[in-house]
Amino acid sequence: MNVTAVTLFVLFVALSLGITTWAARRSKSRSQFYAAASSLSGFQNGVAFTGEFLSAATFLGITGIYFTFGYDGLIYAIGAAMGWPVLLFLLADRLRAMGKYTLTDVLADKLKAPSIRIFAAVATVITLILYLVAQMVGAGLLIELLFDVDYLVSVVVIGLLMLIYVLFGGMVATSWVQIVKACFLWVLGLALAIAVLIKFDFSIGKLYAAAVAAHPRGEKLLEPVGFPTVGASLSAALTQAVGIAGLPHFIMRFFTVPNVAEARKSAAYATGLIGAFYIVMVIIGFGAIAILANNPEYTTGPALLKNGNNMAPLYLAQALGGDVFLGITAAAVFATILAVVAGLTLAVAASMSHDVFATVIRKGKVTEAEELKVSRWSAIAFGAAAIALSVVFRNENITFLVVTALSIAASSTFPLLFLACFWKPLNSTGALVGGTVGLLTAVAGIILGPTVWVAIFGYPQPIFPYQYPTIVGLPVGLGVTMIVSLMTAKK
Amino acid sequence: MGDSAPLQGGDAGDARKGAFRDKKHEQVAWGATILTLAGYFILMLLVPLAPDVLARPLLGEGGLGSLGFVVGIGVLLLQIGVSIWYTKWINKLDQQS
Repeated sequence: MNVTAVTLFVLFVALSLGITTWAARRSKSRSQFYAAASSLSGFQNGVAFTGEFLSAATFLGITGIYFTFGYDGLIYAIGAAMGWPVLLFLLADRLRAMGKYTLTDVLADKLKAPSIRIFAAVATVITLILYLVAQMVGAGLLIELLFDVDYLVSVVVIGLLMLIYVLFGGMVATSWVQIVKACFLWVLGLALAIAVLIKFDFSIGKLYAAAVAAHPRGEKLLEPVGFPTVGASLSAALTQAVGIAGLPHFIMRFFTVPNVAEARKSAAYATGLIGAFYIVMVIIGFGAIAILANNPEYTTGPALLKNGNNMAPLYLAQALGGDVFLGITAAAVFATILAVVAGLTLAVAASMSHDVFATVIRKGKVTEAEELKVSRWSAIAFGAAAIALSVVFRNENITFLVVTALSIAASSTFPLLFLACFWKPLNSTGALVGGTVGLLTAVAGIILGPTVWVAIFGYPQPIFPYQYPTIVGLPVGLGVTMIVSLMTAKK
Repeated sequence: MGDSAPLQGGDAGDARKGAFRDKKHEQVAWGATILTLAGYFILMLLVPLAPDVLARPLLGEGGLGSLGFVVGIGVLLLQIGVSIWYTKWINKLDQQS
């Protein structure tokens, strides 16, 4: 049991519960609960965006990719950052100016049919539960590994904490927890990078030489391997470039600032903080290779870490700063997971209560108190489902969950959002049919692709050759939406 | 339902409900998007087509000064720079109008 990690984690939980208590007094109305009453500044929301974005998959997963392959870590990092141009330059103004609460509100501003709200809410739930389960499975496994706590207990504790933040503090609590966590993770990442550089006398050349000497790939560390064909590479690039813009919990965050100028600032701050963090991660990634790759204390074979290569940043911290540094890093990872799952849960709760209950079922004839009550019950139901699914998926390959979520966002919700903003002939029928076809195309591509068909079902070759189906899903989603809109246009 | 109005605190510019302020803004926004994404897509095309080119030394004795790393970090820095410039430019224009 790492005392530092437990102490710091308890401190973070205490701080976040204190934030939630403070936020509870500021979460009485709909606008407060869903959008923090648009009270965040551009800088605050930018840091909150950074917290929402830098998940455990970023910190652990990308470092793990650096450790395994080398240069590919930078490819994945850049890809993850590439969703921000579309958000900032093309969508931020439109989203904030519409003055709404959810992704569905944005679509419904142009498309009035109730079926669009239902579709968007369904797509929101599917996308976000995939993300949430992936985070919780990762958290449960990590807590079990590091602290010898039962997996079920771990996911229940994570689930309960995230529900407390959402139920009592809404967007105010979620935002400030994200801000605290983003600062924690950023400072930790910087400290880890500086510790690596100190070890190699601040010489990038020495760091690289040590990494090459330690890794079985040697000089080939600089050659990318993850995307062997143009199709695979472009499909991944497309997913990253537009998928993030279709994620409901990111869209929701644009409504927490008071005006368009602050919305732009928040996207710009997030771009800077996230991009800079990824540059720092180059040092962390190569430092992990240089220090761990042929260290028998941490490996089971050449460049194979005990308990998986995603442990790279944790073991690196331990190698550089002992159990104290390991504890600080582990606490940062847990804080990261907690903050991200809270944001996801709030987005689903808002969709269920605001988009489905208040607008479709009650047709607007609902009090704020009733709507917020439904939101809280939705959060509880969603949290319970996430905990149950985390148990089901415990021993499964969870990579496909994140890939599916992003692919659905890229092939279904992003096309609708983009066309709603830029294409006048879009109508409800086209959006419903196109969105559904895009979603089904993405899901089919995932199932028939290497992530599920080969890795889970065990077939030797995939039917669909690429990990990301967006190269087919995006044009299909866009095309069907546009064609059906034109065919069903009222004369 | 009462949710169609902008949230409290919105300024006059919000009443545009999402239109670019003018043609120039639209062109700059699309230009910035294309510029930042073009760098990324060029890199992603080089990955399968010329992985050895990406590994080639560009600065000093190579290593993390390879073409791949310089281009990759350059893409991130380009994105950050264009984002900061764009935000300052358009927010200043909004303030002046």
